[in-house]
Amino acid sequence: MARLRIRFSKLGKLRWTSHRDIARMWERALRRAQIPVEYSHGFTPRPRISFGLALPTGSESVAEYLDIEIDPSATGDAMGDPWDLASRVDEALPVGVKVLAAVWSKAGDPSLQEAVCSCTWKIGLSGLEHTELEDLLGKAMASSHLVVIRERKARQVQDDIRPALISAVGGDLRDASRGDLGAADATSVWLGSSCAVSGGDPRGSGQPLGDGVGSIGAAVPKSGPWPVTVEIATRPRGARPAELAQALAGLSGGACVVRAEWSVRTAQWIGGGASAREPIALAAAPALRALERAS
Amino acid sequence: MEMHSLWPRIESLLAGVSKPARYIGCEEGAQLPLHSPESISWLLVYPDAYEIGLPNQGLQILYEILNEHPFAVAERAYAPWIDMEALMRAEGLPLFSLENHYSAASFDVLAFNLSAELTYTNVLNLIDLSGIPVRSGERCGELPLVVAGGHCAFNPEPLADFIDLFVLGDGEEPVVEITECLLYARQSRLSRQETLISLAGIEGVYVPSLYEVVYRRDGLIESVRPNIAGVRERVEKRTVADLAEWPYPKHQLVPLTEVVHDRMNVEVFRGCTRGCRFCQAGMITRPVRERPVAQVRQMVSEGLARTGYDEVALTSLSSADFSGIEQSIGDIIGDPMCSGQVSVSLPSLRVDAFTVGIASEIQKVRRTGLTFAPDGGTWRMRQVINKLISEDDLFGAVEAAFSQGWRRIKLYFLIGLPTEQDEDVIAIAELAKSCVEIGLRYHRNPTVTASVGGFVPKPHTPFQWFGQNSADELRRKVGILLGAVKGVRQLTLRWHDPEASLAEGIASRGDRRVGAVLEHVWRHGGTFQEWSERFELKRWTDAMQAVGLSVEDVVYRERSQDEVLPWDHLSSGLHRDFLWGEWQDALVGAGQPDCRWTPCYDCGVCTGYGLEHVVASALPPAGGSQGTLQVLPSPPPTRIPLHIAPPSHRVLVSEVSAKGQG
Ligand code: SF4
Repeated sequence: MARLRIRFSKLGKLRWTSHRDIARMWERALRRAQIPVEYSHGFTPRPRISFGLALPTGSESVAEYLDIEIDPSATGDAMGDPWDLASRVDEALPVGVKVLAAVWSKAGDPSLQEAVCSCTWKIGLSGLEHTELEDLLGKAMASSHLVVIRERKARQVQDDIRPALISAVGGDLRDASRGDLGAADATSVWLGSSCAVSGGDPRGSGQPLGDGVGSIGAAVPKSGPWPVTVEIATRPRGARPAELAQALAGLSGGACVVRAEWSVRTAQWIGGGASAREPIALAAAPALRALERAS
Repeated sequence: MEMHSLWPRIESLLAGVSKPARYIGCEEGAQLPLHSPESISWLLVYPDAYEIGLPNQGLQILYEILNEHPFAVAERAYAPWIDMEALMRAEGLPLFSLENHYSAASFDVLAFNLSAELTYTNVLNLIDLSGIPVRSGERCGELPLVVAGGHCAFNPEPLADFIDLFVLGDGEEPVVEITECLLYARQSRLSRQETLISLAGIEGVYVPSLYEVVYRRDGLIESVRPNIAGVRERVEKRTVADLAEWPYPKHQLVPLTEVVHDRMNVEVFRGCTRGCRFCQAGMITRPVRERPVAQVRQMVSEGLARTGYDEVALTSLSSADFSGIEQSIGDIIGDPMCSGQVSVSLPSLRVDAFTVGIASEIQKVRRTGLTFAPDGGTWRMRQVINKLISEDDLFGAVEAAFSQGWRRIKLYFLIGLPTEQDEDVIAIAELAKSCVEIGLRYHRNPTVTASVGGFVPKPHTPFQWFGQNSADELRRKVGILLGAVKGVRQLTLRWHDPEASLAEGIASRGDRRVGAVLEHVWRHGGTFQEWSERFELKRWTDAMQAVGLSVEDVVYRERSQDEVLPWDHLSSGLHRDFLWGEWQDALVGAGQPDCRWTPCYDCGVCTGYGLEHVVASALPPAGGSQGTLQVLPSPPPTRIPLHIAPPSHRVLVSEVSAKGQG
């Protein structure tokens, strides 16, 4: 078996496409790039590709994954550099979806769906002052329940998202006024967003950098959006950025109308605590090289 | 007008709407044209939801032709869905283009594709959403020119008050001529009125404000005449003589989100001369112009490689009639690029076993369902409509399908046809039941769906004089059918809403006075009338009443030979005498052969426009004269299953232009 695991980004206008749309884009891109994908047998042969967690429509990501079963008869034993296939398909993908790295999976590796147990998100929350946000995040972590209303099968149900919330902290305020970035720039911004990338302001906005509210300047309105970094578990059920916003609004007792103005998934994690690792970490040597080529 | 991107404002609305990917553009094949003050900018608009409009090939063809022109740029827009429209209106955001997200009113031309009459109220809504007065008489100066074309433009009168100019027939050449005329008008600083007059000089262009309709005291039309000198009395349609010169679209758009007909499309021919008397598309697109097989092959293989689609449709009004059909399919299946994973579809199957043979060749794996359109329930009815399919043809086709693995058959019929008796209606159920019986010989659980549409007599067809069945009458006939199919578990009856057929009759058969009806329906919230959940007949009948028109006069009334029809000043090339003769022949059930394969009977199109059929073979394809009353020398009879010979054995048909007047 030859399984190619790819990490990719979804940025820009394409964030308004759905998970299914992304799957269709990949299928077409794989055909256009003439990647020897294995097909299922039976009446309607489908390419054997599988995606990890669905990304909510409207969110961006620099940590999306998919596994592609490569036809072994086409590759033989020598599977070669995974980047050779990955870069070919990268060229066939629409602007906004970009291959960041690729590795061959080991036989018997669990699927992405099974393996990933949490994700890191950066979310821009608006509708409240920065001090209120800090306060609400503290309350959220201290509470035992965080109830949100969800739509399920055209019915409204109450759900507790507290079990999914592993951590939530106010983020780097330099992310606050997220500019409209080209996809390549945005990738490096989000991947390196807790430290300045290549010196100076990664977004090139010319605004002063700083950690305190006072140093942000007038560009950020008093009601945000404020960046927060959250880690959300995938099991038994995850939570979406909009649901976190809803839960915080609930905690404020209706005083704030909290909105997730933007959200970016920056990592997915296999295993918890100190042993947590990404399916493909971009710091690893081959992946970093991949990123260099990608941008 | 100044152009700037509305994207940030649009994006701020997207979290609150359904299917936000409808509004982002970014499709593979989309262009990002650079506007300049020297060029004419077109916004091509499909007046329905994105997922319906995006696949429209006509719009995509013009999009490419215009963007190739050194002094034209073209972008696209579709009707924002109601949730998005509500937010846009609340935010003061106008209709926008998908490429640069510019406001519609900042373009020089707003061009609508008219493919279905029930989208007319959307046309009004989109003009309004652009911030432009809906009535053309109230537009002045710099405002965009509002243009419309497409099949429905052959009776443009209901939209005459809202559209500055219509284009009749194939749009490939007129869009370039209009562009050049507008460049000239800009240079010469012509007024809006002067510009319209000079545009009216272009063949195929109809400027309704330059024509006056005079009514008689009894409400019928006395005449439709130009109201200024020098404007032509009668506007003739435009026709592309040779499809080989127009290999478009070259870069078919690949949407990022779900749309209908989500596949690669290659038009194999345009026009159809089978002569079905109810079919407006067939009548207004004569003569037949086939694409050379080699070009089809090239468009398919380049298109698949570029788009990554795994399905290609060979499109036309009756693709099994394409003389290069076997070769084209063989080419696609044999193409290493396709490596067995590409399926071919023929959107319109002919009713015969030969066609099923082709279908089985191209649908090796996904044998889900096949659709046939006998259209009429009895042989007599089919003689009236000139669709001469015998029961043997139909049963042979159905048997071939069930025996070759298909389990679901869909049959398409019309009710409300001229001279129709209840027994013709009941016969629809009988035919469908016989198909179930055939199916049971091969499968434990076959399904047959009889899909029934209410017939709307369309302009420029032999049935244009016929009075449409009332909604009540259509409903009664559906009732008869429901009774007749009862108890047959494997048989499903589906029918088109008779009330929607009535509204379609109003919009397609009306004259200029119907414009006020459309405006009334639109102003009372009647948009997206193609969508059953959004359609309500009451809006239409209320509007008719408010305007003082009767459904009887506009839709149900049979018209006489000497009556001036609202579209008589517009020509699809067909002699009025030919259409009338066909109408009279229909009433006595006399047939008319296909002029591709028999001598020309001078319907007027080729003779009038100096055109001829462009077909690779002067003989019908295997099984091809079926349904045309003709006993002709034809290739060896039906072969099932169809074996496509390897290229060395294949009889290569040379691509010649066989004159219709054979
Ligand atoms: S003019 Fe003659 S050949 Fe041409 S479409 Fe009419 S009948 Fe056929």
